[in-house]
Amino acid sequence: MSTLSSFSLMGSNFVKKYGQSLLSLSFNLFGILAGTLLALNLNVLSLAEWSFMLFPGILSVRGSIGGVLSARLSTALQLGTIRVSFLKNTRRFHIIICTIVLLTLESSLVLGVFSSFFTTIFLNTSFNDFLAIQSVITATMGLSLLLISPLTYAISIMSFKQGLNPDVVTYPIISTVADVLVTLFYVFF
Amino acid sequence: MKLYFATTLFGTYTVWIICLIFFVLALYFSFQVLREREALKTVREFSLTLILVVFIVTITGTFFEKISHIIGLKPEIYLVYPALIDTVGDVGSIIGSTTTTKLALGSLNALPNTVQRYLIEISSPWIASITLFILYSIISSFIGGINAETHFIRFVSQLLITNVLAVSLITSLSFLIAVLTYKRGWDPDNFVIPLESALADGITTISLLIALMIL
Repeated sequence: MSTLSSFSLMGSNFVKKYGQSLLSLSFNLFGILAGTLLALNLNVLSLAEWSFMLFPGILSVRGSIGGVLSARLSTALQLGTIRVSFLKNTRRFHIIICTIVLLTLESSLVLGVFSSFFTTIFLNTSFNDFLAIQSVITATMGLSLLLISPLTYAISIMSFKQGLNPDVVTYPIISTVADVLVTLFYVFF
Repeated sequence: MKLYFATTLFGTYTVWIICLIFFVLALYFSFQVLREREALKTVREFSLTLILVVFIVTITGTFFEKISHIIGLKPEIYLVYPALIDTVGDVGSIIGSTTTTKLALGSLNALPNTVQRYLIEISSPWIASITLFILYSIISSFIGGINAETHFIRFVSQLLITNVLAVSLITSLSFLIAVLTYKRGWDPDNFVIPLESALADGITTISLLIALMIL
């Protein structure tokens, strides 16, 4: 009897966890939007041999910076070290935003140098390609920062105001939105 | 890409101007926080992660380029690619944060009951990810215009093989990263999610390449 009830408890626990996981992971369905943008513009990516090589890198690095920003904002909101408002915020909020801008610049430069190095080895690219790779990466990262950072903050404060945990809500939403925006900027700039 | 490679030089110059504006603004913002201890700590810790992340994602890019050679311009794989890497990354982050929280609370030990509960927590996001992979293949086949039944079954099987290979590996790695970060006393905000998401992208891309080569 106790084995049966233990199994039933395990089963209901599993169903509950499965439901929560499915809900949180289902935000990724919007990732198909980013994929559709990519699939519709495959001819643009054929313009340079290195374009396919760069795409996952930009998505990942942008995602990593988004992860750091959403984690820092969530922690600061819960500790009360930043205000739940867009204007006239605290010094700590200012530091978080400036740090993210600095990290984005650093990431663009490092990703550009690494990608150029690898494309030179694998695809025998030239100096003109190095210039193009660095320009496309920097423009994509810069433009995405301009849109994604305010969006991350907006989602964090909205979830916080609604009594939801920004740690759980912000990153899954923003990582999917970021993928769509990054793909858009990458393809068109 | 479209603007930079436009037929006139106007596009290239526009991209360069965007880069220049971003560069100047970024330098201005950076100088404002150069003396802040917290900012310097974040930059120092993130830089360490960044080198690893960039190295991993550049290798990922090499594999994605190989995938593009195998599949050519068939849209269905490109349609699901961002969703696949995000889903595997999210499963990894669920495992990573669950492990970090359990370590911090001291509730992760070798008792059979604890192991059982931990296995449930690992298996539920995994099975949820399998459900989503099947859903992706249905949506993508619909948008991408896959009509033949055999082609659809092959596509679903390719995604399921990718899931099994990628999720099993990312689950183990996320657990390992969380434990190692915790033991060293590092700030998990700067390590676990960035490293795990970059690894997830690479692992998913390589798993997809393997699945495409098998079937």
